[in-house]
Amino acid sequence: MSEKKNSEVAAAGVDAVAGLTVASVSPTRMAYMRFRAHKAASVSVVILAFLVVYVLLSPLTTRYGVNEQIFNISQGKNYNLAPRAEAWFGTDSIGRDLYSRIIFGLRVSLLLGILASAFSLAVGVAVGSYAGLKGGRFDDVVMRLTDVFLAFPFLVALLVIRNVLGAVPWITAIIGEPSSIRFLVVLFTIFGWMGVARILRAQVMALKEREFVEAARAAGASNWYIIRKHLIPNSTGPILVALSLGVVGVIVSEATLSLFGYGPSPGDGATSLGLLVAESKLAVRAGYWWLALYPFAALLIVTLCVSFIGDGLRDAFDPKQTVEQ
Amino acid sequence: MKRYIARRLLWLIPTLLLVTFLVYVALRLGTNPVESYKRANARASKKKIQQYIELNGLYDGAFGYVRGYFKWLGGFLTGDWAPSIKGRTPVWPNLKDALANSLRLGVTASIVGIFVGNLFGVLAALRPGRLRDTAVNTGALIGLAIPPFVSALLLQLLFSIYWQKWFGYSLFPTSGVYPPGHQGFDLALMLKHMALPVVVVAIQTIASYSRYMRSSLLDVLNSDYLRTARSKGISERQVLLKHSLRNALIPVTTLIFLDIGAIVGGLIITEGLFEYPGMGRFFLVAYGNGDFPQLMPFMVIIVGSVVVFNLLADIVYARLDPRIKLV
Repeated sequence: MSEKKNSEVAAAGVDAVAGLTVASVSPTRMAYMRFRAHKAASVSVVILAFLVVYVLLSPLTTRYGVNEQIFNISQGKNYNLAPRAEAWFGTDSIGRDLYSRIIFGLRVSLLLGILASAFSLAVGVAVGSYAGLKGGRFDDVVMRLTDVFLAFPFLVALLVIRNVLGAVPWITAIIGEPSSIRFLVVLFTIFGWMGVARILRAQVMALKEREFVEAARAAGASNWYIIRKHLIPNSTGPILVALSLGVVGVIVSEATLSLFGYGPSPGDGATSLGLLVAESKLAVRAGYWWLALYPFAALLIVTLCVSFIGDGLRDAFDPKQTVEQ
Repeated sequence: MKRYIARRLLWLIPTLLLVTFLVYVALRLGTNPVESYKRANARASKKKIQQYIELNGLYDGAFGYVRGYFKWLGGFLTGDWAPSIKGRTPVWPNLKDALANSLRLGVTASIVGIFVGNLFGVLAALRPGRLRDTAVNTGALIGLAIPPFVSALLLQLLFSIYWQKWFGYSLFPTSGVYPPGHQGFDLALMLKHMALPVVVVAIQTIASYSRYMRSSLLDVLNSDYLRTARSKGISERQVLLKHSLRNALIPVTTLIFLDIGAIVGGLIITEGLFEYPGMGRFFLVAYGNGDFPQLMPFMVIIVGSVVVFNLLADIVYARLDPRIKLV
């Protein structure tokens, strides 16, 4: 796969040389071209963009309200109905339209994923780049801390920290009860930033020996200036990959928490993909396949698309490929 | 080498002490053991509650945490473990059974997953950029993108519920190690119950090992010493078996050790969904009850196994790869 991409990128250069107009290709442009060459990633971007727009337009695209029971009881049973014209994805155990609920659920899950990974990214980039640049005591403490967290299975650590945060009154006063969306955003940020910080730290440790950082330092630039102007722009690739995988990580974690009954309760008029997945656990036992299949399909579309996009981004920003060019 | 191992082993003690202390504080803050005890035993007298507090060393205040930790540690090390809060059952027999069940599931899945995953990785690396390689890569990407609960529930739906509907019997049961009420040991029945959880865990293992083995073998195949081996005139078969695979397996072996360490506590989702009575179920039940006397030993075992196997991975890596000099 990568060979083909390189030849395509190289071909652009050859054309320019043959025409004797030496048009320079910026690194961003090169990355973009390599990303476009990754077919699965390009298709995933289109699908995901369509899905996000579809979810954002929920007032238009949903057919019923999130807690609306469709058609009157007098017309016969309306719960656990298999897919049909009135309810494209069937109805759940109390007669609500699954299709509309998936759209509402995706909206909450995507919001949660984007918020939590944006916060993780901000904290992780700041801590990781500072630790990588400064080294020393700060670096040691941060890395040992992440080691401790990584020694635990993810779900165990998540549940224990959830309890600790929920038990301290002044923390819950700020970030809400353990079942609120705000609380989950904070919880996932606590776990999310460490992965980002590790990636950034490794990236910064490699970059800080390069000449341009030395030059900036010689010119009297501060640490913070170097981080902002040199280190972060040069780490765009890993940052984007971490961001995309972070969103999926949060969505899947939310679903896992919901599955064991520790998920959010977004209140009246809302649901989440995780809660739909949790409801599907019982539906599976009863043999109502649609209640499992459609939420899973929605979840898998998101996770698969993001995985492919992450793969494409990794190829696009791979420094080894830039060298060949 | 010996000095390195001795030093690492010595470091193990403060590491474990620090981590278990952090866990102790987190659990005491999080589960609020006294409240959970009152919830589990609604009619417990004041004296009973005081006994429970004394037995577990649940003293108040910042210093009380330190004192309580050492009381717990003393009891833990001498085998004098406090009973669970519900029904005062001893913790070790349950934990031992859970550990055995988890290991059986995890080791089976790991053997299948590591073998198949490495095989796929080798097949992919031998033809880089070709169809076979793309198929393995894409397959691994998809395998890692499927959350375990999705594969678990879909497998249950297909092989138990719908199989029952279509053929009149369910191919694989959805839960447990044996059917309810079963007595004694029955290998065939046990394997049948283990089949679906093993597949769920193995999908993830296969996906990650095929990627890892592929990149590891590709590194070796592009190395100078392989060109030297070829120019000596040995056969392709020898090049592959003796020079490439053996070297490519060095980093993979490290990963295997790390994964074994994680088995004990790493199957929670799968065990939870299949109601498999392993460490994951043990944790979920104890966590739900806020059962402090059960949660502490559980945590020690999972952290201990991760830390010890991390150390083993480092040592094995150093032994296998002569280029690594230990100080």
